[in-house]
Amino acid sequence: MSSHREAPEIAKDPVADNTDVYAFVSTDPGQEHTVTMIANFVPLQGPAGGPNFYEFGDDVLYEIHIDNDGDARADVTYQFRFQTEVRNPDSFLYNTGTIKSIGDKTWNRPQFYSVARVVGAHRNGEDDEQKDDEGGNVLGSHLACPPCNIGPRSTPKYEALAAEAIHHLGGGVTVFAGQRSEGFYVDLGSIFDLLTLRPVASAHVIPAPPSGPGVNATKDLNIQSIVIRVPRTDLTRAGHNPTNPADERSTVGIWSSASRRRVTIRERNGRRSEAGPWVQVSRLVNPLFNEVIVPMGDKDRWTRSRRDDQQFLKYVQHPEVSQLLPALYPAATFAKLRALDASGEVRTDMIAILLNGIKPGVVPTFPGNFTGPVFADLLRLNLAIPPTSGGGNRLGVVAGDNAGFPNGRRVSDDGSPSR
Amino acid sequence: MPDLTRRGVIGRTSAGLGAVALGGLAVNGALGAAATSAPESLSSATVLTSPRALTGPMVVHIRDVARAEMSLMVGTQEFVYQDSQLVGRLVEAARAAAAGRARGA
Repeated sequence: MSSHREAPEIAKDPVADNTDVYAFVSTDPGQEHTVTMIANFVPLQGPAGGPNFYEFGDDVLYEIHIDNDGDARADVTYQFRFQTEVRNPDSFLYNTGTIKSIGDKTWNRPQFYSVARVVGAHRNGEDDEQKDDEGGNVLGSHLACPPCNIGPRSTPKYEALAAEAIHHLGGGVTVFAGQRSEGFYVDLGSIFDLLTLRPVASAHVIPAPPSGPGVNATKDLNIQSIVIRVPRTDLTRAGHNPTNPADERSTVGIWSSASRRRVTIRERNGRRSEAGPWVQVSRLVNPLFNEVIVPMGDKDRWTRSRRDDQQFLKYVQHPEVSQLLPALYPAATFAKLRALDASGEVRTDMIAILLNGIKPGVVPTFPGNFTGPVFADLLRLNLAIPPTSGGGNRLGVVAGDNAGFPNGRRVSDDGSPSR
Repeated sequence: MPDLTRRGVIGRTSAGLGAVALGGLAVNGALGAAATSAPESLSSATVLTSPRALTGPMVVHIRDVARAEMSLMVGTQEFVYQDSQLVGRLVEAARAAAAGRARGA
């Protein structure tokens, strides 16, 4: 899976829980000069989750960060701040009639947001939180989210409603924030039942009858997506136009985070006040990193930290899951993995994919997306590699599709290295 | 009227951290009175004279009583400084309040 409920603390705070990050050179015709970045939050939403349907947190700062010089610190950050309004406080209803347009007064609890672009703000977590977190260039404000997809009486033309919430901000920037169908697919119920893989369940050390193919546990569940499409040159060093994949300036590193204020005071009158700097409570980049690579005792520390993932390198070098699989499937199912573990060999492939990129020449057909010696969990995207028409191959670079994972990540990519 | 925005306050401090005085702020009587004495780590204390100067709450967190170290959270900033007199008064006030409550019980 990606990273839904990946660490103990953030699992208790779903509104701030960052579940997936995607970034790819845009595939829409005429938009190949732009990059689309998606950060998902609020995992595992049941579509019937009313009467208080899902929304972003007004008290959460959502951010998408871009490093363009290989130091794993943000050079460009897009910040999203939300504000919810209540139109009729005397009704319990989320909507008091059919919502035909996102501006309809029948939507009783609309949510709006602002988008700001901050350049050079290195607020990367606990160490840097005192740095500038305000004063960015506001690209848009009071932008409407779409309502949640309630049902045929409330939101009969939902796709049209959602389309209304796509905002073009000028400068080639387009944004959307709101509920979407979960794009990631995973057999949650099985995989976290002691790593049961249904097709080979009979080979498990605790055997079970074959139960057919995997079950997509996130099917029919929703997510809150923040989507922003910007010109590639808005992300690169000094506005470099990325045309040469071999040019190191063509590769950027992307991640997202959610932060809350240091102090929350619940006043006696029911009002809630906040004070102090924004503190990172969630971050996400590569699928599964904190979910299954970082052990329980370090998960919350990983969530808080940002600057340098050298401290977590040992977990990538020898992932626990690669030792567990051969142990749980003692037959020949994972013979190659068992041999690899027995050799004690460091997982240089995982280090490259997750922590500092793939050097040119390692994959003969791939120009590379190496970002240097700093180990950091980033989604590395070589912006000079054009998108693949027709959606590409879900296995990405492994299958010769250089526009896919781990060169960025598309929604359709099968981006978990362990799968 | 001086510039009492967050940036204005920061701009007038010498080092960014540890250079803000509490004097005159409407925190509460005891705290306000105590804070008018010079905090030990303030090199160029700035006295904010208007209780309306700041919007939103200001939170003082005594994070280490033994070292008299406090975090002052105002707006989205956090300042760390030491003031043994102020911390001493607050600790004393807390003890007195707890004792009063115990007597009341």
